[in-house]
Amino acid sequence: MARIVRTVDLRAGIELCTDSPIGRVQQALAGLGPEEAVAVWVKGYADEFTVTAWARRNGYAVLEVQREGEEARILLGVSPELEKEM
Amino acid sequence: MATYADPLALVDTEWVAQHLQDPKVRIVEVDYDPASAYHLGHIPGAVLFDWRKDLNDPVRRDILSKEAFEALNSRAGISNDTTVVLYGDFRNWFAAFAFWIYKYYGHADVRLLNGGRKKWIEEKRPLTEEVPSYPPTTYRAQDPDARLRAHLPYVLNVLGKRGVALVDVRSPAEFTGEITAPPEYPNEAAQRGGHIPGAVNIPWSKALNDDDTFKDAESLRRIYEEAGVTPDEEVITYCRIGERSSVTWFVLRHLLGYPNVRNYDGSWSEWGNTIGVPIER
Repeated sequence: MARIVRTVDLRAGIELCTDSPIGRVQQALAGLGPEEAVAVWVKGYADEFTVTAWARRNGYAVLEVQREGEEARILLGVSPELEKEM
Repeated sequence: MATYADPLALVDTEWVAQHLQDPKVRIVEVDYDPASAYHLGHIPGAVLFDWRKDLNDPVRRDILSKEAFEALNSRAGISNDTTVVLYGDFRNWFAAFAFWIYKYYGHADVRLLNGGRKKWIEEKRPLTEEVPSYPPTTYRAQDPDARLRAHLPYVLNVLGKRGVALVDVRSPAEFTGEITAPPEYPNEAAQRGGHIPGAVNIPWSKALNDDDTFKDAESLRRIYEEAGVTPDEEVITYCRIGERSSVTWFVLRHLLGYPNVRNYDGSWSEWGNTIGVPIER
């Protein structure tokens, strides 16, 4: 089981003066080691789709998606392919 | 319930779903960050307009020229009589900006997808990663409609005049000058924080429901009229780079039918960096 080393909370959505939600996820994933994970909280299916699709497309592993009502906690880790490169 | 002044300016997700194969309709996704939007999956048949590359001049700070707008539409297989439906990331900010540009260059039938990309995905409607291509057209734009746009000298000239309302649609923290731009967007920062003297602060998002669709006409009217922004005035909207203000411009001009609304797309990143212009905090 990967250890959660950072948490990103995107449940507030895009605020009035926004930063990029995926930019925040990307920052949190930087330097992630094997056996480590980033937890991303999202609200709604659109953000869940965006985070998981972006992660897979960019070589990260979606370790777990745990839904609680409208919200979901997504665990992202380093994919085996990325691990080989490390 | 009162209807919108220009109901054809808005379509819902079901309308789009029914027109995916309609050759007279071209769906366009307008993204600030296509890597975290269009490229992950988009409405089948939708072409991509990258806000930074496609809708802005590549060298000087300006929107794309008339010639570039013609070339962009021609490449996308859009004709002068095509119904263009716009949607996109960041809660439709950049789609609204594109809508404003389409009107600026006189396109007859352009519409905004109510709720944008987020609502389409929330409803688990189909997405594809397939990038479509369409036979090119020869698109001809109209001369710019200068009544829809405000440049800095124009705003300076109307400052303090009766009958002109300036609407700052940024967050209260930007309005008061507490922040100028998030650290992620250093190129949007300003030397000074604050707002244009006399502006009222009505954040753009007040016009939206939680699902990113627009509020009904009555609710919208109340929001702006209670803040003193009425249809008998000339209204100028602005934000930081002109995209959030396009949302409010769209609401005032097309949903509420205010006759005289301009978008000041230079916005705070121009005003707050210009020497000598007056600022309030």
